[in-house]
Parts: sequence; C-alpha cells; structure tokens
Amino acid sequence: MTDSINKIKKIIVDRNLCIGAASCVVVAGSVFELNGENKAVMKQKEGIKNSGPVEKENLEDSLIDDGTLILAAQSCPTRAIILYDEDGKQIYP
Amino acid sequence: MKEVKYLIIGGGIAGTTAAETIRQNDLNGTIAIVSDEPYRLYSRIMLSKPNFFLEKIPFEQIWLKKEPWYAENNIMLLAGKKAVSLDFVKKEVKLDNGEIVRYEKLLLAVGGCARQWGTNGSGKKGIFYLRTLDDAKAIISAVKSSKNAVAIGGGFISFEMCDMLKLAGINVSLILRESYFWEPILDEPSGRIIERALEKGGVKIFYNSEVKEIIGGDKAEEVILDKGERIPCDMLVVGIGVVCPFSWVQAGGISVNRGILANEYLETDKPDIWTAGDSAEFNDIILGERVQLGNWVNAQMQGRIAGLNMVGKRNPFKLVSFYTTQGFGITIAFVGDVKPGQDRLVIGRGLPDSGSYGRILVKDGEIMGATLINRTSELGTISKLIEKDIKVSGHEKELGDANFDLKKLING
Repeated sequence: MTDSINKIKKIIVDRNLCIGAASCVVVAGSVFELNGENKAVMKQKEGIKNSGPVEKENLEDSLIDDGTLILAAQSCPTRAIILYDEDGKQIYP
Repeated sequence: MKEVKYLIIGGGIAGTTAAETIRQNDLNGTIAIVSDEPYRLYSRIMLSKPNFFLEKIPFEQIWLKKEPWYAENNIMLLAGKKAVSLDFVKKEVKLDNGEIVRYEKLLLAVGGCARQWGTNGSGKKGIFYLRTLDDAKAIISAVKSSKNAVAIGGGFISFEMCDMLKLAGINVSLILRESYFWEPILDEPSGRIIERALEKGGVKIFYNSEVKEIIGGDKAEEVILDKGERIPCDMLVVGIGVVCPFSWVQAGGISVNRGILANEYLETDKPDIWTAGDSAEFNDIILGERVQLGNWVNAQMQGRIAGLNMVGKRNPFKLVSFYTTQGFGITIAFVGDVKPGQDRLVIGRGLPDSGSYGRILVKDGEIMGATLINRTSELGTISKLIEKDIKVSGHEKELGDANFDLKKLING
C-alpha cells in the first residue's frame, strides 16, 4: 500500500545494497540520481549529493509527497532505500 | 475449474506489481498469479550481481515479498505451474496440471527464457544459463569448486558474470562471435573501452570465435574453438540472448512478433487481455516506435499501468527506461531505445580514449536513446530530453561536447 499515516522524516540509501538499477530515479527523479559510481544519491539543498542519511526537509525537492518517496523505495529491486518516520521508526522496508 | 476476476500469468516483477496495483484499486476482486517458478517474487535483477553471487549480500535479500504477503492481500499464488493453452472466446487458460482457470481479465507477463545454445556437447554438465533463481543457485554452487570458466556472448549478463567469476578468483575466458564487445548495439570505440576494462581485470577475450565442441565425459572439461584454440574449463556461462516462451499465447490467437504485441495501453489485440514486462512488444508513444525492452524498470512500471487498466482505467504507458551496470572499474548505462538503425544519427559524446564516452541516438531531430560508459550521471538528464521530446536539431555540436551541460537543453 502506498498510503502511510506517519510522515517521512529521514531517508538513507544503503550503498552496499544499491546496484544502480535507477528505478528510484524513474519514480522520484527530483530526489534521486546516480553518481559516477553508479550508486543512487539524493539531491539536497546547496548542491549536496550523497546517500544520506538525509532529513526530508533538507532535500532540494523538500516538498515531494511521501507517497512518491514510498513508491520509489518500494520500486528498488534490492530494497536499498530505507525510510524513517518522525519517531525514528523505520517505515520501509 | 477455478474462476477468478483477474488472472496473471507470470510471477515476476511485472505480474506481481500488476496484482498489487489491482488490489489497491479493487479490494474484493479475486486475483490469481500463475508462476512457472516455485518461488514468490524475488529480485531477478540481483541474480547477476557479483555481490549476491559471492554472498556479500545475505541471500534473504533476494525476496521482495514476505511469504504471507500473498494471503494478506488475498492474492492466490499458483507457483510451479505453467500455462499451456488459452481460449480467449471462453476466457479460459489451461495449466500444465490440467486445471482450467476462467478469467474476466487476463495479463500475460510471461517474461523471457535464456536462449539455448546448440553447440556440440552443450548438453554436458557444467553449462549454465542465468535467468531464474534456480539457475543462480546452480552457478553459486559451481563457482565454489571451479578454477577455469568460459563465458559465451557479449552483453550485460556476460559482463556481470565475468566480473563475478574474476572476483571469485576464477580464470575467465570470454568467447565473442563478434569482432568487439556488444557489436552491433555499441560502436567499436565503446566496445573497446569495455574490453580494455575486462582485459585489465584479467579476462582473456577471443574475438570472431565460436565454440566448435565441448570436450569431456559427463561434464565439460575443455572447449575447442573454431580456430583450434583449446581452453580448459570446469564451467561455462552462456549469455546469448533471451526468447519469450509464448508459443501457447500465439496458438491461442494473440498477435505476436518477437514479443506479444500491444498498443500503448498494453492491450493485446484480443479483448480483456493485456501484456507487460519483457514479453511485451508495445507501442512506445515517447519514441513513436514499437519496442520490446527487457529491463527491470520497464517491467515494473508496465505492471503498474497494466494493473490500473485492468481495473478499468485507461492510462497509456509512458516511460523512458534504462539499464545500468558496473564492474571492472567502469559503469555502463543504456537509456531508451539503443538499437542502431539507418534512420538514426549517432552522436559520439566525448572521446573514447578518455574512457568516458557516450553515444546519443537521434531520429527526426529527437533523442531516442543513449549508451553511456562512465557517464551514468547523465542518465537522468538524457531521460528527460527523450521524455519531453526536446528537439535537438542544430545542437549536435553540444551533444558531442562532453563538457556541455545537457541540462541546458531541457529549458531551451
């Protein structure tokens, strides 16, 4: 289900799991892109790009809706995108 | 006889995503997935990744759905069963155990099978293909006791298998029928970059070569090439392409070509039957061509659109998809449609000698696709240029300039 009651606060890309399949780039291209090593990184304010942890409010596209972020995480074929809510609880996977 | 509202043939990412999407939009309609593999959904894309093979990633990470997910979502998984015939008038599919399933709406997400190799001796043990989890398990086990391996064919699977085998400490010989890696999808300079990386990584490449015979008793021990070279081997990994297992679909009267034919809504030419994933040869409205794409993102997103359309929406499938890989210190990405053709202008981006080289394929003034070596970071921007049908006529020079920021073309 793509609906979630709790809001997403923090996002991490597990670099060991990421294989650069880039499904997150397809679903949420305003947040994710691949870096030179073929790993997903998140685009943040002031041009910072890394695999996190990143607070959602510090994303370049901080207004992205949670549904899209969850869909991006769910689309990852290695479940490398980890989402946390405001209480620090892991929402996905 | 079973009766279901939604019948899905294929339990891979396309079929399972469709089932999940249907359930989100139709809480009560009965759904069944028929899968010819005895497993729940797993990450097929991970099968060829060295980290998985070498067990650096826990095996459990392969599963994308927990066991109870199917029951929790009231989705019937008929695993280990094959569909063998289709009657689109009666709306029935027959399975290999004789069971008949009647449907209201049918999705054909049958995927592909590894193309089989017909060389002398190719029936011996020690010859592996990679398509299913069982294939991968067999290779994982063989790797542990092998010293010499032979890889057949140039492409993503071969590239990744060579990487995995070298990381496992095995001697690897790669046999190419072509004169360079990935001919004719890539141009020669791109192929040579990949070959340099492979050779630097210790892979011995034989060009313009074919295996004449595989020697050994019950098990492969040595291969003889058509030019006479002999290569000892304990295992062979064959990656020579994919064929779609849909003769029963064709016999059922559905129009097929290389894949199952579909329009932009992923509808086949018969009522209430859709197709998605590797087996779909569909009308791509972004590219303006009929294409068949065998990649994860395409299969997943098509499953979603097919699912939505099966519950009564009518959304066209619109996506620029891609596949990327890395190994031997380089990254390779294919975006959009990369098949060469006389109607395409190919613009080289950067200099091959620099090791960072792209090719942008243009048709009628618009980008159709791109191949990128060590330029994966441009993948997102090129996807956007394709998706938005940006006219690039007159900008050929910029496209060819590796230092030109392609993002500038998006905003005109």
